[in-house]
Amino acid sequence: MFNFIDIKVYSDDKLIDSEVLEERSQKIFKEIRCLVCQNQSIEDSSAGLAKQIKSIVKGLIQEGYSDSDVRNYLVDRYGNWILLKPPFNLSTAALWLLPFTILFLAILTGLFYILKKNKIQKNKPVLPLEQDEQQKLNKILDDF
Amino acid sequence: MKQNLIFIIPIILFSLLSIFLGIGLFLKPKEIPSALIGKTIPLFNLPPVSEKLNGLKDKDLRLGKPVLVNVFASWCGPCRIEHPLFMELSRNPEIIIYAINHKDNPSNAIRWLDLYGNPYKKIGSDLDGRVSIDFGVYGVPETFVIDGKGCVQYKHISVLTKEILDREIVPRLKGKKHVKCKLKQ
Repeated sequence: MFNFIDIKVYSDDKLIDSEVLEERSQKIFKEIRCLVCQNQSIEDSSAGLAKQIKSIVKGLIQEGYSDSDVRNYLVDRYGNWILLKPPFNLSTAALWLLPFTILFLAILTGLFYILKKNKIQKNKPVLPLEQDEQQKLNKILDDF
Repeated sequence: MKQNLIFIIPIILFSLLSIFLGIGLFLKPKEIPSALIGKTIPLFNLPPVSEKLNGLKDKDLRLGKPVLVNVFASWCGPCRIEHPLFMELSRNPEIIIYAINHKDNPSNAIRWLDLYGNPYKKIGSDLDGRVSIDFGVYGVPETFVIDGKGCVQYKHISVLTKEILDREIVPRLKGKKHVKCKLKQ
């Protein structure tokens, strides 16, 4: 997985169509974090390192690397951090699953609460009104 | 009693959240841990900055003794701040310091070294920064500790301080806290 191959960045032989190259590299640019201006993708950034990584990405695609090969090449050197979207693996499982777990628990608690309340209400015997309550009700009804 | 317990749960959850957020305040997300620690150094062969000096290649980092590799440039301000520390270190014959001159004009690098002193045994000139990228460098200065087999042990980002040197780097140069590299396929 960790091969350092001497890659010609400015390769002249065009193995793939320039339009396809442009499209594929643009897609990858959006996923790669600029390490200098850290919350931007390299697509948005004009930092020196971002420009250089862009040219490396293009070079790799021309060399016949698949999109995920290109990503792995950068991850090998800079770690998962270089990907703007963290991959799903053991160390990021909590990050990805926690929101869904919390949502699930919330729905469960909500349902439990509603059902419980309904049950209590259903089982409650209907008590006759107290005397003062009856008087109040009569007064309101009289007013109509 | 059961009712009380239910009300305690959110308090516990909130406390946990506060603790994690509190820890988060003290993290330094800008200092990206090197993905290369515990990995073998890239193959490279960099030319010297001048004919009188030595260039640097990957074999130099596999001579059986831990070495320091400092990534520097004459245009880099912070490099000047940490430079006296490397000068001091270089007086110790036990410590080998190499350097990668990052995206720098070699003649500027020579002038810089003439002015402030040359603590480096070998300096590789990385004009286009390609080797630096293979080392996962994203800014200068950065300092690596490589064991005698070409396995990356530690990386420090930005200016090196005496404190970091004593706490993290010197022990590793003595072979402590050693991380084993997985074999390259």
